[in-house]
Amino acid sequence: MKIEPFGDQAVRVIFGDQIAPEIQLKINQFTLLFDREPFSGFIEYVPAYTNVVFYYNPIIVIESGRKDISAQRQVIDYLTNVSKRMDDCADNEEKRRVVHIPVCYGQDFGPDLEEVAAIHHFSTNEVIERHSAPKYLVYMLGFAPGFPFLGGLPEALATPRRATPRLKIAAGSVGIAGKQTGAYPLDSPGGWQIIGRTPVPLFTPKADPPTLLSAGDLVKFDPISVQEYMRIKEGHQWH
Amino acid sequence: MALTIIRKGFASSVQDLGRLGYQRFGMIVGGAMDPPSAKLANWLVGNHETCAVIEYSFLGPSILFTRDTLFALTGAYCRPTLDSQEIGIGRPCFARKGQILTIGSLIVGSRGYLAVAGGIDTPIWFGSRSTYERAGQGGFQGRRLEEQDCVPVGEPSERAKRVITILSKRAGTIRWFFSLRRTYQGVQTIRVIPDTLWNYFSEASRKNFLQSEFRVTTSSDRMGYRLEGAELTLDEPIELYSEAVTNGSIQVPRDGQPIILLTDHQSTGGYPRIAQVASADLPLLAQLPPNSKLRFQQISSEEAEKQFVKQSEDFELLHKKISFQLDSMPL
Repeated sequence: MKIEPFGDQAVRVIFGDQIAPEIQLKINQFTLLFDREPFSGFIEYVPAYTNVVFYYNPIIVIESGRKDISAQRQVIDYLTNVSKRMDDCADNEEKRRVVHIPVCYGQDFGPDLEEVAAIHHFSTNEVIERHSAPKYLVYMLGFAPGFPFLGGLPEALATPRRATPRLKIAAGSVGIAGKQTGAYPLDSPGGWQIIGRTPVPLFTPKADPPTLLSAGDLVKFDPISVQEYMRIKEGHQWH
Repeated sequence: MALTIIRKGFASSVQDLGRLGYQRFGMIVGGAMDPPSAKLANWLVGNHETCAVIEYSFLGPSILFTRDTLFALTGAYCRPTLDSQEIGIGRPCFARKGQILTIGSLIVGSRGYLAVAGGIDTPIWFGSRSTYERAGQGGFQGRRLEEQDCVPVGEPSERAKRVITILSKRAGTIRWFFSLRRTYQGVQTIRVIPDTLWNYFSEASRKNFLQSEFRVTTSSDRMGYRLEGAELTLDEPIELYSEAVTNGSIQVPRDGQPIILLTDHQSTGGYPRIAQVASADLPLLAQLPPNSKLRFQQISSEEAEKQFVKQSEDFELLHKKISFQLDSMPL
């Protein structure tokens, strides 16, 4: 682990240099440990694939800490101490929350399903089976509110982006872009291959937190029919 | 009590000091592009600095007051009028019910702020009233202001009420004013802290970055400024994964032309970053209109922090002076 300054009001705590579930787990453990006792002046942290950035207000750090040392130094020292306590917490992969997301694959909801199947010489059902089999790890949220960066797409499904991006992809659309898979929380333009759509909102402005997923969750896509999609959309629960 | 938007100006929106604490959910911080100017406007009308204000760019809105109101304009220099009567910026102004404020074109700087006593009182969403356009949340119905909008205003503070009583009894505007004493240069110097990826850029690129001029292009908005200048290249391609980026991060996409991320930036990004703008220079940068020229000057993160702390202390002193000035106005 190393800590680097990121501008004059943030530091980056780095746990590795590749996309790997073990690194994500370490970042999760570090932030959980930090949550027990944040420092005065701490604003927020933002986890990503290989590191987590801590934002702080230097004025408050200095006022409530030492006046003769920079806020940056004090924050780095504080986080170094948190990292020393990391060994105390056991690795616990099983603790991850599994979030089931129902997806209606194909037809109007997944206009690119047939093309994706054709590219890989699969039937559309084989694409659905392969895509809905794994438990995907949410490495981070970014790009848009509630947008998950998921890891774990089977190599056989990796598909280049569409040559021409769509001007509007409906909220809930589930797609593939290269080695990534994900779901759009809001209507957005985009070049992802869209294979299905979920009726479950990934971003709910009135909920706290407003997003369905958090970094460290596991996602399982469950194939559903158009009828089930409509039932859930009308407010029936999905379990 | 409300303000009615008569003419919407350009990109007018409700902003405060931003929505902190939700970037890990993919939400943006947002808020005023020039926070010191937004704070100054609030202080001048007896508000807490976190009250929401109206931010406008290039062309200010025209506004009808539906009740006697204390207001102040700060940020970009302009020549506003109240019912055709010229008023000054950087001072408290009193408007009677039915009067119309016309802000007009911004002359120096590209963003201005209107604060009213009591603050803009749109609903708070995740701790902030800042407009989050992409999510359609916060601010006034999650969008920029439009003509005919009735923008709600809160209850003025005791300090503001006293000033309202005084100004309602006398004619003319206040002569004193406060400003942030900024000087704009022909080629603006912006201080930057090299990013950890600094050494991955070619020697020529690093040299050009610090020695040549860059121009702010017209493809610049609240999300970021696209610059035009010497091409910046990496010595060799590096694989980067998305990670947190912030206000002032200078990203270099494949075309070699830098982009400075600003207030409405996404919480994460995956382009190589060459440097980070010193926090003390971000408000000034946000005031630069398209076609402005700028030059980067390297400083250490320690020095940048010192400059920011010093600037904050100066603002605190300014806050005290304004409060004293308001409280010592004779009844």
